[in-house]
Amino acid sequence: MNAVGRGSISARARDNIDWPLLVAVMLIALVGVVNLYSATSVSKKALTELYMTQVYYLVAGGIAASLAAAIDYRHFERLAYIIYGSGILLLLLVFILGRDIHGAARWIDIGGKNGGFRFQPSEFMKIVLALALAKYLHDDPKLPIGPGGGGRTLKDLIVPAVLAGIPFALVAKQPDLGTALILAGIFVSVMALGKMRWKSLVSLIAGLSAFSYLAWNYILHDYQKRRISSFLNPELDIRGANWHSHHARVAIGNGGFFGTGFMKGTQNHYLFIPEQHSDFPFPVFAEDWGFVGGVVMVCLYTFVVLWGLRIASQAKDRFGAALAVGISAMIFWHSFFNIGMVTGVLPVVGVPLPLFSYGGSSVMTVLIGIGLLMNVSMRRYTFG
Amino acid sequence: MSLLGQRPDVGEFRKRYKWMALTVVLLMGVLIVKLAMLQIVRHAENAAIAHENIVHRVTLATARGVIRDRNGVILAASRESWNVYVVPARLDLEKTWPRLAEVLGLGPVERAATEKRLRDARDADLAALKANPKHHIRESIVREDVSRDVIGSLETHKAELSAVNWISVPMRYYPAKELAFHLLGYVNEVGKEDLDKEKAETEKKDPASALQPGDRIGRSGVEKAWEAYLRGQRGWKKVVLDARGNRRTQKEDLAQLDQPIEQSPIPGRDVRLTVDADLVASARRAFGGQLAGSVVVVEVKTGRILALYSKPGVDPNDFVAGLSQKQAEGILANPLHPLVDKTMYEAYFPGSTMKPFSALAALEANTITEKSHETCEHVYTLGKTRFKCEGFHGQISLHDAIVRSCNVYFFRLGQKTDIDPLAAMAAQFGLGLRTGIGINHEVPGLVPTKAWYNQHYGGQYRLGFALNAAIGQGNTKVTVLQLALAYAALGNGGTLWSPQVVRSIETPEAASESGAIEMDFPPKPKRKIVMSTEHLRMVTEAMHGVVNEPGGTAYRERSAKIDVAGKTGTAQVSKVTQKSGIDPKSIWYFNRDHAWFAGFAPYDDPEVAIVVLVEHGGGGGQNAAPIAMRVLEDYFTKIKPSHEAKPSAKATLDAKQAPNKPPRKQP
Repeated sequence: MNAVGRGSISARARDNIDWPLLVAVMLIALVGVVNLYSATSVSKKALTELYMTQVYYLVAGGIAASLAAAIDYRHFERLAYIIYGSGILLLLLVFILGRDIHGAARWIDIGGKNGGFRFQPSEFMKIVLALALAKYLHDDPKLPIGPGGGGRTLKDLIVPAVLAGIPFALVAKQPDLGTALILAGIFVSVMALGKMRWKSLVSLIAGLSAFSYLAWNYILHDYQKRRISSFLNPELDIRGANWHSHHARVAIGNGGFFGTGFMKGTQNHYLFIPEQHSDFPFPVFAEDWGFVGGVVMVCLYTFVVLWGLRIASQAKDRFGAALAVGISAMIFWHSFFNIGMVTGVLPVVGVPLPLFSYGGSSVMTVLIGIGLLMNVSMRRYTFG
Repeated sequence: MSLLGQRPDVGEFRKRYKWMALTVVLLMGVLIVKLAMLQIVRHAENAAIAHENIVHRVTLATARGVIRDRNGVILAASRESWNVYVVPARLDLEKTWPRLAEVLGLGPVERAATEKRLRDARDADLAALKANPKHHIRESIVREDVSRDVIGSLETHKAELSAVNWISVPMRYYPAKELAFHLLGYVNEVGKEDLDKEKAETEKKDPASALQPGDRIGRSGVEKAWEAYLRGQRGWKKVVLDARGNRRTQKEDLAQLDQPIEQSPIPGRDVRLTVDADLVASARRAFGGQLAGSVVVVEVKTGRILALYSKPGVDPNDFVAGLSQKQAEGILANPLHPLVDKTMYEAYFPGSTMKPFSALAALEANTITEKSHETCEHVYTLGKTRFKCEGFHGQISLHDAIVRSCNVYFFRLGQKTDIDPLAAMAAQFGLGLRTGIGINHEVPGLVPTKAWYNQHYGGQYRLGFALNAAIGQGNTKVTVLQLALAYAALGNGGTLWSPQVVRSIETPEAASESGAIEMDFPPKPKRKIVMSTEHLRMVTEAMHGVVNEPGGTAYRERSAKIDVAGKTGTAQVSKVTQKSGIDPKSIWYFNRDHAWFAGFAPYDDPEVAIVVLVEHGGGGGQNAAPIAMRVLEDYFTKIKPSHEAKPSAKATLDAKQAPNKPPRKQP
């Protein structure tokens, strides 16, 4: 089984590097940078250097991922709630120090105005939440539920719901609907590991429906509501919210089966793809590389997610398993929401495509997540 | 090294992973299906939208043909003018529009009005786009005819002016201003009714040549009559516009254009007139302080019009830009009727200028001879009616009756000849009939016959009508143009020519003197007048006497340089009263007689015939004759010699085309 035998953890772990995961992620990152080059080549000077910056982020993210992979995840398990508390504090800081981008305060600046470093705590919160939920499940005395067990009741959901609810509310308040949805997705995915009672599930759904109603009327911002209603009725506002997704779809469709060729997509070239480096890099790619390229990318993301689930299934303890599920869920919901939104399957929600979208915080978060997956994967044989 | 030791939870969620994996695969599958929908099933549709997103057609204006006078002097041409457009659907009304309004220097009123128009256009476009994603968004004009300076500052601020474009369009202009207003006419913008009319007429016409809003078409004169030749055909060009409405012109951008990428505009044909602009200017000069009237000069041996001048005129350039309400009201309220072409759209009593034709009619009818005399005692009574002469001529012959314009002689002549032979001779000379010049509206005037009087006066023809007809009063009315052609026929031995104002149609390159004449119009005789040359000699000799014999009505105005034959006329006008709405202070003017002079020169070998009408000028001898003399002197001593020195009228005479009406079909 284990060829090296019982030496130091790190030495044995190194031999167990999860190559398929590593290769798949590096492939996505590489294609992402190349696509970013194409996407920003048409823009003003300031944007055309973005792909290089993205490479720096990837290097930094790679180092962070190595650290995340190297430290035995059981240390994270011990520290999970402390990390969680720090994350919440940072989110609160956003309200005090936050920088306003597109009408939403998401950033914290560290250092001076120029050359300083800024990041989005809400991005890191996704991993922090995965850690906290994994910790909660790990310590949950109700698990495992044997055959014939009744499953969770609503009462059993209170603690994890509060764990997820606090960051969800803070992020939604920024307002950053996309990230809040990802947090919700992580929560639902991780909690899906445990059974629920039917009765509880039904009342939960009823409660959520009532909440959505209230959210629509009292919590959501106008621009968020516009995006959702323009999705439900695409003809409503082609110039406003729907203009983005209309042109994204046209660009993708223009790619055809084999694509227009690298950097030859006309809709990107003539600036019809909005936010082509942040939320809409996929239409650029799908126009350049066509259906073939699009399917390859969707398959790559699917592979990473399924591989994450495989890692979860092989994890040596419940924390590792739950953490792997949480990280996989993060990557899954990100890719599904983003590609779903640009293809018109889903409304326009500002969710970046992992390693495709430009952005330091996003790249770091995804790569740290991958590092943690690697961590769980490498240690699946360790403490048997 | 386990921190917690062996736990029992390994692999506890196995079933759950399967469900999760299935969910992931299904949802990702949905994305792939959607990609297939967009990229395979609906690829063609999306590619078409993608193409139409960036490739737009812009029209290429065509240049309207130039109108030149017989010597190549430009009378109507196109000058460069700049129009500023925006793409309302892509215009940033909050940032770009205020900047643009500032650069254009729009006043607050115009700015608010334009902004509203752009906003409406944008809303309409977006609504149409909603209904049909393939809808072509349009450009909308912001300002026409802006100065080169403004275009310069637009170029400077190009970066801030997304979705703003400017194009050069030719604008019609008339360097001679009001001089040849009635002859040339003017162009102005098409209205809805023009577009509807054309739509109904020409369903199958090439859309490139069809009228579009903003086009200007000929409204009167040569501009209208020869519209089909002058207009030309617009072209179009495909251009690449990016999402911000900016035009892209790099090589790789142009590669996006599908063939055909351009249809070149076909410039309109140039029109060369028979008219001599210098001569028209001379007529204007000669008119001096006289308020209203007209001059026609015609080549005796061809019927080609050398000058067509009607006063007052309007500057046609004002019509091109569009008249303001105030300007339009001013023109319509002017009692001198500046819009009326007084050479052909108004008929006047010819007065004594009619006498040569009456004399010819009587000679032909043998009711008088060269030797026969009449006695003038100032008044001639027929029945109960008293007919007056201007003078007291005593025993008088035909020759002297013409020279001194004795009415009594002609009353007697009319009485002996009766009206129908007089009318028949006048009709032979084309009087009372439209000349068919082919530009502008023409009134026929009237040369009454017995039948006409019987019809209009309840069968009550009386001989008295013939007496008035003989001296060009009563119901006889002619146009200045008719009279000029009739006098040309007197001068050329009896050939009535069709009038001709357009000498040839030329390709635009003809301006360079090496270009091609596409159509050349030879002179066209209408008829040879049936009369004895001896009779004609008697009459023209008398006309020579009018100018050259002491006692002749134009003797005092004779020219020392040019040997002119002619006839003066003083035509009574219908009296106006306070009721007619005319300013009481100017009633005296409107009750004054019209002054005529009609003649030809040089007497020995006539080249040109001239008719001058001064509305309310008073006596023809004192008021109209001097104008005619000055114009003729200018023509023979200055204008003609200077043009003969450098001949540039290069039209040939071999084409078979009729000169008057523009041919219907465009070649």
